[in-house]
Amino acid sequence: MNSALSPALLEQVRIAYEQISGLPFPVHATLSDGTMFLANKSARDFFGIPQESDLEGINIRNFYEDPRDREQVLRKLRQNPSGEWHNNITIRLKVGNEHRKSRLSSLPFFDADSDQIAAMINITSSMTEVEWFAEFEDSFDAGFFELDERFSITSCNAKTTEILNYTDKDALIGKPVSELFWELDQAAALREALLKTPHLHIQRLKLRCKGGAMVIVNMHCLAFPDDTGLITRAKGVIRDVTFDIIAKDVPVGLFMVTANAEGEEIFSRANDAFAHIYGYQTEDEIIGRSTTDFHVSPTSFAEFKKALDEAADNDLPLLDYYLDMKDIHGKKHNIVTNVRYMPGENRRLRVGVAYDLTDHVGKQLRILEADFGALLHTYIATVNGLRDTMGMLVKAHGYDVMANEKHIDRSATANMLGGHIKRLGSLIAELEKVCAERGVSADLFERMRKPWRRLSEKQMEREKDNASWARRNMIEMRNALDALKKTNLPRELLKSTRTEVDEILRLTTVTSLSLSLDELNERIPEFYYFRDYLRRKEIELQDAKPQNILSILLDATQFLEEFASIRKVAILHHINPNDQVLVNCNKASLNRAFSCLLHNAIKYSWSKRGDNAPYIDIRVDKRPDTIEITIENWGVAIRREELENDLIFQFGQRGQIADDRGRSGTGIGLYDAHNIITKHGGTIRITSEPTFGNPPEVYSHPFITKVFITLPIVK
Amino acid sequence: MIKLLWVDDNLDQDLAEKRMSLLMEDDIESDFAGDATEAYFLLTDIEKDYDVVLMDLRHPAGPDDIWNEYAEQADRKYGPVLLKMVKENREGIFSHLSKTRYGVFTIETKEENPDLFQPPISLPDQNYKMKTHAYDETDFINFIRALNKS
Repeated sequence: MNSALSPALLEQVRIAYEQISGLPFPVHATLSDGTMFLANKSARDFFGIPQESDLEGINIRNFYEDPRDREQVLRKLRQNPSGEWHNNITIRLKVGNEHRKSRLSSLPFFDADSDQIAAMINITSSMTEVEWFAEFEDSFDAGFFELDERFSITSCNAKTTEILNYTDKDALIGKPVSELFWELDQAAALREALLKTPHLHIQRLKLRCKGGAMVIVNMHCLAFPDDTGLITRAKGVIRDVTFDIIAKDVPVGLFMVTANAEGEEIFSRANDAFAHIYGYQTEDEIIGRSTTDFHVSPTSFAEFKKALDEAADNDLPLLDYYLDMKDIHGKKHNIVTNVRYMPGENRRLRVGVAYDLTDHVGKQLRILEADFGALLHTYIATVNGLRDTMGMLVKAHGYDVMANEKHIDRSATANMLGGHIKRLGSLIAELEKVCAERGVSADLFERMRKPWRRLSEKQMEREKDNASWARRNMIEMRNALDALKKTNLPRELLKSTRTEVDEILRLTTVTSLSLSLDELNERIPEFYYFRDYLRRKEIELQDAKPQNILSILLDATQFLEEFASIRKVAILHHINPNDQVLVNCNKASLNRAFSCLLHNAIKYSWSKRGDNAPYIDIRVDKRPDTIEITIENWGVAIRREELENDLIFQFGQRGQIADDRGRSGTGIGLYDAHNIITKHGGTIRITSEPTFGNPPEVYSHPFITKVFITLPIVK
Repeated sequence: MIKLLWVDDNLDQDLAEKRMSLLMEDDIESDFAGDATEAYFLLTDIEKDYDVVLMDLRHPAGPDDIWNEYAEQADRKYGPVLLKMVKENREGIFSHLSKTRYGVFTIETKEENPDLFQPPISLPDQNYKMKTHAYDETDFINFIRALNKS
């Protein structure tokens, strides 16, 4: 048995053993493999080994509750300096059916050749529960303390010093506990409370840290009174709950998001304030829910993740990020969040705060909208006045080319203009001849001929440009004519030339005014719409009244007739003005929704075939419970992904191709129309398909766009 | 002769008169583009070696798919995208524009567009003009001439 040890080492162990085996403790010696080869009486009693038996077959490993602990003991002893006792090893042993918490004092012996532990002598002693607990007291995540009869600290663990922000527990020993209370009279109150209830639980006790900060603790305190009822000592446990309270009570949402096994991001922790933002009462209701349930769209979520990842790439948190979120009821909230990934978690765990600015933003926005709405109203009034004035100027100066009360006959105007330009050409040729005959300065004549040459040589493609171009050159020519008046040229010739110049100026001005008037008329429905949107009121269906939906639709159609005529788009509908279909609604809101949808349909209409003017088609289908309105147009496409992701109904989103040929817009109309229709209990759906034979993703071809609106009817 | 390209989507509306004023100048030969696609194809045409390119900052992409990667930018700022593209490909498809001067004519302030003044665009400070600061036609024409000399 002892053959594994060299005789010299065995002798060394024996001598050391003999020196201490008489002590009243269990002393035994083992080989490195755990084989016990020496044991005194106390050790035999401790391990239940008969006194008279030899130690054959006894291995200390068999007494370990967990045999793996033996390896840990050996590891600790290997780090022990040779020849010195290691006094601080605690283990759980099992003797028979009895578990014993034990402390080992061990002296290891090392093999000279291998420098490995060859044997050891151990003194084993049982530990009481208190001793066992005291071993771990400093590792516990709670503060322990003891007070004497004067309520001064006599003992405390490391956590207590940490909670109170002291670096050394000795600095706390002897300190009256009253010095640690935030409120000075709290110590007396505690003593009184303990006299009444010796085992006291205080949920929120405010203490003063070293440095002056407040720490709030939960405290369990136990007092020991003597026979006379005076407290001789007290002890207790404190747990720092300061940040638990802050997290619970702070009026801002705190959250933690984790990716689950499927990669789905879920809320794994949150405070109640965060839960409230999303319409829940408590944290428990939101835990485990997917974050994407609360983003308004996949695009919005993707944009947020992109920004977060970009910030993380630069080792920064994402700060003051503004995004729209929705609660469990689908209501939108304006959220600002500060968020960052937790280090070392491979971007699968993030923490942050969220502020709900909905009310604040909403209030500010309403003020802004009201102000801007009022300003826009005034502006529209001014533009309307200007429009009237322009109309009158057209009438006054274009009296001979009017097609009707409102518009000039452009073709007739162009013909007249052509005649004047031709006559002006002849007059200039004659002037040139006379100038040469009468010796008029060539420079003077050249001043007049230059704009004439420019006008003759360059023709513009657009009517508006042509008018401007001719007018600019006529202004130059008129100035040159004024200079020629001072020469000896025939007055009649100059007068005739001036008359032609003035006529060209008049007709080009009338043309420009008329075209500008059309531009104004084309733009003004958008201003009207935007003003009405800014001045809108919240739709309360309880205030709604049954109204004839067909009449509202026809009103909107008539309002846009002027716009459609300028756009050269025909409005086709199959609505009998005498029919009546009642819908419980807010008339102004529905009118705005229809105006917007019709305006879009007209604006985005175009036709490839010049002989076939574009048109929009409005159809109405009455069903038992609902009315379905379909607005169809051919023209600018809406891209497939914009339809699939519902991007078109998002606030401020314009279709990617909506800018086609300078078409302006706000990106609010469809959002607004969707909002209005759904608040009336209806639905709105949009499709955009290629015209027959055209490929689906070549958006330069005309597409058939259809809007389907369904509204519940009043029976 | 100053060969000019002016990129702006409002050339037919509020800038129509300014556009016509350019045509009155005998020493300025102008091309116009209303969106990024139109501008791109004019800029890549090696026969159009412009002396001056005047750029608005926001305008539509136009029909070409080359802009798809910028499709998510809600502010339609294709002006800086085009300028960056040209500056970064001076050895490649835009090598014929090595002597071209670039200017920006916009309603926005310089402070809103710091990227313009940093590489690769590096627009000279004086080559930036707000539309509100060139309301007068003469100021506008003078700006074009100054760009040509910059």
